[in-house]
Amino acid sequence: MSTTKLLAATLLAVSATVAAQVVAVDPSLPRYQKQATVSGNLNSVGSDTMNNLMTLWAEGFRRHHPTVKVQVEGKGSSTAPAALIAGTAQLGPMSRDMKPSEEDAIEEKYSFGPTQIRTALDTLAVYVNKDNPIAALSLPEIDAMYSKSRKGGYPHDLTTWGQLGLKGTWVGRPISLYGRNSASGTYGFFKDHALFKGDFKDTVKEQPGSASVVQGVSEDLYGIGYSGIGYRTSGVRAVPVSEKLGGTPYEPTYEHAVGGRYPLARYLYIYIVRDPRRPVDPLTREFLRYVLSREGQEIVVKDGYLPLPPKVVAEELAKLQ
Amino acid sequence: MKGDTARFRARARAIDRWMAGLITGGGAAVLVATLLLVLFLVIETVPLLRSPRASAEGVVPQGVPLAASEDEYRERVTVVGAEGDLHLVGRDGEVEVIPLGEVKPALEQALFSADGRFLAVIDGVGRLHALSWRQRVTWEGEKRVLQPRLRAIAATAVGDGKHLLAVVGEGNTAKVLVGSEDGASLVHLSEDGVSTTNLAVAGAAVAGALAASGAQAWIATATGLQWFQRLDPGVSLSEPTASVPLGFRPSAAAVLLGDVTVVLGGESGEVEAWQALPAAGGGWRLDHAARFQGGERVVAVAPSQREKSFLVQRVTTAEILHLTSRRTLVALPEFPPGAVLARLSQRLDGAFAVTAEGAVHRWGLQLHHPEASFATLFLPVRYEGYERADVVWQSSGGSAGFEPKLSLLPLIVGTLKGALYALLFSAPLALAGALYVNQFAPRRLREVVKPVIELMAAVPSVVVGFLAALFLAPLVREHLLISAGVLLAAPSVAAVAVVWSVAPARWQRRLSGTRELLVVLGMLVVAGTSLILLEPHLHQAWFGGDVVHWLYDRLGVSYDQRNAVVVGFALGFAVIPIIFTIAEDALSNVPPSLVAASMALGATPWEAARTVVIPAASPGLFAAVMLGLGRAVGETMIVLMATGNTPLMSMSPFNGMRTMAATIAVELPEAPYGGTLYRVLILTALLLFCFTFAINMVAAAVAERLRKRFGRLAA
Repeated sequence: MSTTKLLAATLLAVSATVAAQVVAVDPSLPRYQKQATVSGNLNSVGSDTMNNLMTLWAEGFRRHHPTVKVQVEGKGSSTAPAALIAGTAQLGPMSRDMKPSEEDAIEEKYSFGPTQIRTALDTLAVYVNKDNPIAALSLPEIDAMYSKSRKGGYPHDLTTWGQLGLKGTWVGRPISLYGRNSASGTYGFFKDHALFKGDFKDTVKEQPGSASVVQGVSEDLYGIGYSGIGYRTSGVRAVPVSEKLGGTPYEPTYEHAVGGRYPLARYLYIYIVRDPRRPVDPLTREFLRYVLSREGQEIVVKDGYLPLPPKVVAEELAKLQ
Repeated sequence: MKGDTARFRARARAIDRWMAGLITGGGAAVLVATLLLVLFLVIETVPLLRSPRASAEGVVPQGVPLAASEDEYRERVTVVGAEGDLHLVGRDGEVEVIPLGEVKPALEQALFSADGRFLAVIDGVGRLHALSWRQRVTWEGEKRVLQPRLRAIAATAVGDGKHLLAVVGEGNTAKVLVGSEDGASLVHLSEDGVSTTNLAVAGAAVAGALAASGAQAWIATATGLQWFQRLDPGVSLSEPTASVPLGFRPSAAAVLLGDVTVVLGGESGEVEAWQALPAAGGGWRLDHAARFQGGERVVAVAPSQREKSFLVQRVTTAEILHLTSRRTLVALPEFPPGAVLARLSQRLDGAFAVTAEGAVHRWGLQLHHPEASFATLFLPVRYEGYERADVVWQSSGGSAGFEPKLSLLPLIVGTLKGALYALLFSAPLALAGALYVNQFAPRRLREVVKPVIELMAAVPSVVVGFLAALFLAPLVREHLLISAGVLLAAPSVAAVAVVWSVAPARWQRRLSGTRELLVVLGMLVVAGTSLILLEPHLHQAWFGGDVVHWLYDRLGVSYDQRNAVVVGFALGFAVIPIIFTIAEDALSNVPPSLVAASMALGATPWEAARTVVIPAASPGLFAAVMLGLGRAVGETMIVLMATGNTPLMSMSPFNGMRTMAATIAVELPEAPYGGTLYRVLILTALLLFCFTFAINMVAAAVAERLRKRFGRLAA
């Protein structure tokens, strides 16, 4: 019994490593080439999920433009619109779409709306403790665990692991829920897609960062949490997720995300405020061109996220013209 | 010599005056700064109370109107005329006319979607047309110019006797809900073709509404409300997913943003909100969520595209209502009697109405903070999708259709809970410790202990919180019995002490000073070690392997790793130095002559401490506890990191909490400046200030009374 489990765990680990290696940036994507020599300060305020990513991009960008200073602050996607309005940042990384009310506020200040640039793909993973034997989860089940509204249509509330079919010592063990704070785009995305826009239970432990969600789950045998796939550690396991009850579950891998099979895939954005009447500020444009170059997308892979398909890159570059 | 003394005295007086001035000035500055702080909090909170405003903005005449919408910038109102043209009516009365194209003249009916982007019309020959209507922003120099673009999507024959109930659309697809005398149907129109879903409605469809996705429809007949779910193209539904009889004759219906609540208006002026909820035995039921103030017959209900307010248009009046707060926000002044159309602007910054003669009336709106009222902040509220009224804190969502839940009660309860558990842990320890160190400990011990405990205050609270969350929380979970043992340590030592006090005096004398302390420490070490050794066996013998599981299985108590016990320990750690230091100072201030006198009269050290020292120092001891409470209430980082921030109303020691201070720290940076959440958080800060202020006031007042009462002793 235990040998089988061990084998299964090993296989799983191997398949995860293999999947991680398969992801490669499309070779047709052009390398970064300077269009202008730029200098000055570039400030970024926004998503916590994209914090590492922004820092890595900033490092790489500075190799091409050593006089540029980049400051990255990441407390949650909701801080991005506020910073763009106040003018304290040129870049607003967000892990969700901007809400109409936020766009209104920007337009009120500048008389034009923000521009959305897709920069990477992310799969929002549902993590359980590494010793948790659960094979797969469906969105309605996740909804019934996390939400008091149960808009996913699951017939009853899920509070123990036994209700999800786990046997032995797991029967009757309460599910311990971890989540993100409401400033984060991850919180909003999960609420819209996994909770079907329902409300979180009051018992969800809100953590101020993606890393602390993963940390919490790895310390809590009966824990479950959600975070970007880039935050995976050896203490947790990302559960395959199916869209419908009884549907085929998919691992949060690149193929499943690009193919639209993994139900919690999303884009990571950088919002900028650009005057449609004038060209984009050269510093901002060079940085975004770097992000959308092969180097920039290789950083995406290095940080554990998924690169953009070349078609999307071309669309985003067109927005910078 | 004499001159020197005089000069010295004069100089001393000058320094005295100067210092007195400086100190007075400093104190006054502190007072002023505090007052300014309070003033800032009040100024930022007061706008919550501002009442919504609507002001009339002028009238522009036009032809016979069927439908109307307005662009996002409130520049022009688009009126669909019966002759088959779109009239774009500007604020200055300038009109641009765009023909509807292949639509046959003499339109019967027209209807815009709630977002104004789709238009459905039924023309003179009974054909239903769906059109997409966009206004793209372009720039001519510095001036914004809206370029209208009308595009026909598809058309189909629907025959006579049909009326338009609702339109929604997305991309190249429009869905139109069409009612007739014997039912209703949902027509899907796209460039690829047209398909119809027939809905089995019992009776004539009077009013109807569609969810933004087009997947759900609500249809009101003369007697009831019916709800259809999962509307796929081509599939006919033989019966509604849920239906319910209505107590009034409906005349209008609309779905509020978020697709949960449908608002019905009645022939006799009723306004009611209904929602679909999961039924007990599976399936769904329609649930009466709210009733609003009545009035004249309701002509139409128009939802806002930004939040949960909606416009109710009656025969001669119109008012804007808000779902969450169940309030009438504002009535539109000078509303034209007999207006055929009334809508809210896309951004909820205005409203407009069109009369039968085609006159366009406009209003500017400033609704301020409709979702924050005394009721929504402090009383249970029946939110969308909730079975019953509840107090909930869930301030933001990922999309516009989210209903903010801003009840401050869970935060207040959480704050008090955290402070209470912290005091339960720290106050007895700190007070007893202060008494021991001050009255009984050997002098050398005292010289070591006091600075060490004061040093505890130097540990940054973020470090304490971090250790509590990552180290203490899993440890307490794993060794709950040992943790309980730690909590019981102080009472057990006290119990032993009581037993010891009746022991023969000869024995007592042999154990005093340092020796006494060593015995107590030895006892603690022995008890601790045996508890650690015994714990696994106790687990197996009494709790079936694990206390936490036993708690859940036997007592139904759910245990959260981040809970009030952990917070009590961590917060207590921060509070102990405060209580200890102030209490010890208070005890030191009791004149030694009092103790000496009572001992001279034959009292033992304990009797002297109990009957003389503690009463004399009680004002100080009380102040110490109150200041500790004030610190616990205001503490942020420890609770932020160690609690899980769960906004619960439970006082159970085994689950977490969300305090006011932590909520402000987490949510204020994300809150848009000047928005409702921002103002509510500032209100929370103001409440927190009042809390600590009141605690300190009470401490000062009680301490003063006690000082008067026991002052004679110390004098």
